[in-house]
Amino acid sequence: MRIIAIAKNTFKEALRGKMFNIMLIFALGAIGSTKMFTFFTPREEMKMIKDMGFLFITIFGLLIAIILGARLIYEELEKKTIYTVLSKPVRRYELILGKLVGAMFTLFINLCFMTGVFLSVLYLKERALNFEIFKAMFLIFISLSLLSSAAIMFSTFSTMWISITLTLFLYIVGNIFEYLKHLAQKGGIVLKFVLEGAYYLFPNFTNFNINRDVVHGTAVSGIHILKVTLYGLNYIIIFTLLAILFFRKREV
Amino acid sequence: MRFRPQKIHFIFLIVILILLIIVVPLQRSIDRDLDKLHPERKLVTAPAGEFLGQFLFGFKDIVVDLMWLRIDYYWDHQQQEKMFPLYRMITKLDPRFLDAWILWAWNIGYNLSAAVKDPEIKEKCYWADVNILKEGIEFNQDKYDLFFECGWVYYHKLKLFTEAAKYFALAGQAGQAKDRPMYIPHILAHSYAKQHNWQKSLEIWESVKRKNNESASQSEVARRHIKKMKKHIEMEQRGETVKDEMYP
Repeated sequence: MRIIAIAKNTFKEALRGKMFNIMLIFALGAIGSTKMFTFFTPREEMKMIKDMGFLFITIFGLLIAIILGARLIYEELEKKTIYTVLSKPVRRYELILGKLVGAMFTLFINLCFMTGVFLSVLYLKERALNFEIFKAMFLIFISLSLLSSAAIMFSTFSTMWISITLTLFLYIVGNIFEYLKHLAQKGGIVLKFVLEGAYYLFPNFTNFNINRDVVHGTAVSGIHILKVTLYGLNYIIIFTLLAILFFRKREV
Repeated sequence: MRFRPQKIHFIFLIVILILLIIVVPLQRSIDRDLDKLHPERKLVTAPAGEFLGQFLFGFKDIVVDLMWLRIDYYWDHQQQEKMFPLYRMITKLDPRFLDAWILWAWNIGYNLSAAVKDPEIKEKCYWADVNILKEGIEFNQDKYDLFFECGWVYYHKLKLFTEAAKYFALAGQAGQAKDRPMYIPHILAHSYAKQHNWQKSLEIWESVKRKNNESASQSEVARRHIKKMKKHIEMEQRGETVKDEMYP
């Protein structure tokens, strides 16, 4: 119950934050503007619209997820409101879980708005609804929730800007490990061990990207979506446990 | 029951370790799925295009689109020689982008070949066209488009009708029937007729007629060709030479 109360409060705070609303308006405008690619053949045009739509959703989603995650604990500490919260019968793990659930709900609502505009643009072009897009959106939501949980974890022991930098670094690293793993096969045993270890240790963000399959109309199986969801949830739990662990040790 | 903080930390670390161990089989299983979905993943080491793709942090599709816009610009400004390296990069980054394969091949097989006079170089252009399409087919087995284009170059430019029929037949099986255009069996039947395989051509026209009973124009086309093929078969049986302008 206390977790839900904290989550509700986190969501309300996010709604009050002008920055997130401005970002959402920019995102909706950007997605809507993808309709301008009218000088290509129909198939190229649809590819462009879908690619642009996914790009804007991912970029704005990334910004919202990382900044929101990094701000949540940091602002409580900075404004000293955390003392008021923790002086009440609220456990530290409840605060972390509440913040995470609130952040995930905020991301979900933002993604719903962006998906709505994206689907409207596509419907105006194709006169048909492409339900495969929901699969891609769902995986984008899982990956953004993962990033938010990582940002919350980093913010339990560092400042907001360091948390943002570390989360961005995690995202970048999580996108290139696939290449590094292939590189490892050409190296010595030590390099192979280190890179393969890192490949399985860090979240691989390429797993969540099925945007191109949706754009080209390739069917992605439900089993694959389930596996990737489990993979994402696994890391969300890991980062949340680490966040609770670090926050318990922090002197507040 | 209350645990001591050290004990809680220990339990947390054990849980995290278990979750990290679970990641390994899960990631391996996802890797197997992705190898099937994106065969180009295996090409990450060598060509520059795919190498670049790894460092675009999940945004390579948009880079592909920007390069495609650049191709459009070069096309409008008659700088076609600058388009070819971009086609290579695009197809490395997004091998499922059918239009890139088709236009690249078409630019070589039709535009470049038309600009040269030497018949030997012309033929080289046609073969380059076919090779590009075959490379694209490897990544797009579930779409009819590249099979059809490849068959068309064999049919129209190289006049190798056996090969053309092979690719048109593959185009007629790729993907879902509702996505395939109705002209694929027509051109397949023509390819057999070009080889003077009247019987095979007749069978295809008969199947076109059966499948398109409701379409008057389709039935009419099929009926006309069935009549023609039957006539040719009869002429051959009588030992006469078939004279047909369409199938010399």
